Amino acid sequence: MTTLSSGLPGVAALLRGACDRRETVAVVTEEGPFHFRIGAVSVSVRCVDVEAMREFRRLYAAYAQDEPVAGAIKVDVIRTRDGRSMRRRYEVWGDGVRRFTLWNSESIAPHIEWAINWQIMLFLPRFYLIHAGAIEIDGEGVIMPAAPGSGKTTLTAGLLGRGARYLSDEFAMIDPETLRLHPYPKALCIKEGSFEVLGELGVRASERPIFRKGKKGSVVLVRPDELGGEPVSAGCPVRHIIFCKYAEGTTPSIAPVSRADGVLRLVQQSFTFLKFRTLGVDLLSNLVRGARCYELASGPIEETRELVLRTVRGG
Amino acid sequence: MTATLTDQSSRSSRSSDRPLRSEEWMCRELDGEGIFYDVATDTTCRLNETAMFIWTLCDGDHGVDEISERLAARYDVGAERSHRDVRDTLDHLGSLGIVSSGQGPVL
Repeated sequence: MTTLSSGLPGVAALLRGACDRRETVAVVTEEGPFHFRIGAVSVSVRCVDVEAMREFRRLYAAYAQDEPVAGAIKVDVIRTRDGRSMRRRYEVWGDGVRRFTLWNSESIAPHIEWAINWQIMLFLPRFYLIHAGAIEIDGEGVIMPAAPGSGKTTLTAGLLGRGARYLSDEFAMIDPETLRLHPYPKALCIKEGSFEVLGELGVRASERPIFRKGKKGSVVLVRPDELGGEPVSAGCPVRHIIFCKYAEGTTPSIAPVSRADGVLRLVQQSFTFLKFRTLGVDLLSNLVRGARCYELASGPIEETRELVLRTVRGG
Repeated sequence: MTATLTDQSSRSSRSSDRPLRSEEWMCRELDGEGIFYDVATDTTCRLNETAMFIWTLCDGDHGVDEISERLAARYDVGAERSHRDVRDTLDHLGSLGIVSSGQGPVL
């Protein structure tokens, strides 16, 4: 488990609880745990479901590690039965704390991703985390903060198809010392509503495992290299901050917003603001000083991504 | 010229006529606008350029009339509108606790 810098009592209690409950986790797997490292994040996954484990190995084969890394996030998926109905269920545990209870195996893979994200939000003290898609275009970092359901993953995927380099579809991971964006190149989680877009990018959802992710419905998990030819970014300075909002039938438009407005919006999309507080205000203020801020009303992916590319490239 | 303040608070009270900036709020200026953060309540808000101009004069020495005169001169607007904007802005800032009562006599 990564160390915790925050003194938040709730989080500390959670850690103590994690130690207590860890002993109750017993995972029976047909194969050993899968260790991988993406960006600054090391993960060890053990999963009772062979299909989910196979998908995870496919997604992160390029980042596989032979040995577990000290401080790695540990995700365990176990099979249990409901105490009353005796119905089979799966439990997803992150660092010894039960995060999800699932009723079908099709939900496991995206919830492993979700559990990893959860642990990152709580226990990755080194970085400032913003809920955003993050890409690199011509050496410049572009972050696209958005509320859930705003289409940031679809837009990120679309831009990878036009030569952008991938950093993440979930976190803008900011180094507080350098203000540089760090890669967290997780698999992109594409919802059913964007399967058609995915098809236009050369990935047919019908030809791969389809999973279920709670209220988000059916999803597929896609490696970034399946969407574009460019390698994953090694990190870059943030030069453009594009606040995204999607509304069906909207003609895409983009408009500048002030840097102060940018800071306010970034606070609202930050996972870790309460860990940083005054330092977070300084960090975000310095971040926007080196960047331009925009508000994007996104619509059809083709037009939207061209608009973003023109804006970033100054056209 | 319209002074605006974007905030996440709903508290309400009135500011004094000789307002004084609060030491409790952290402020960072960005292109003439301001980002304010109150550690005690984790409230964040933004002041536009006009509101920032007003806030900078909230030093406990300037009365509302003087702030209004300066604002009118800076943005070339009438005295009545300037006074109204200053009052409205100070009401907002006072309700958040960004400015508080000064020590001087009320004008």
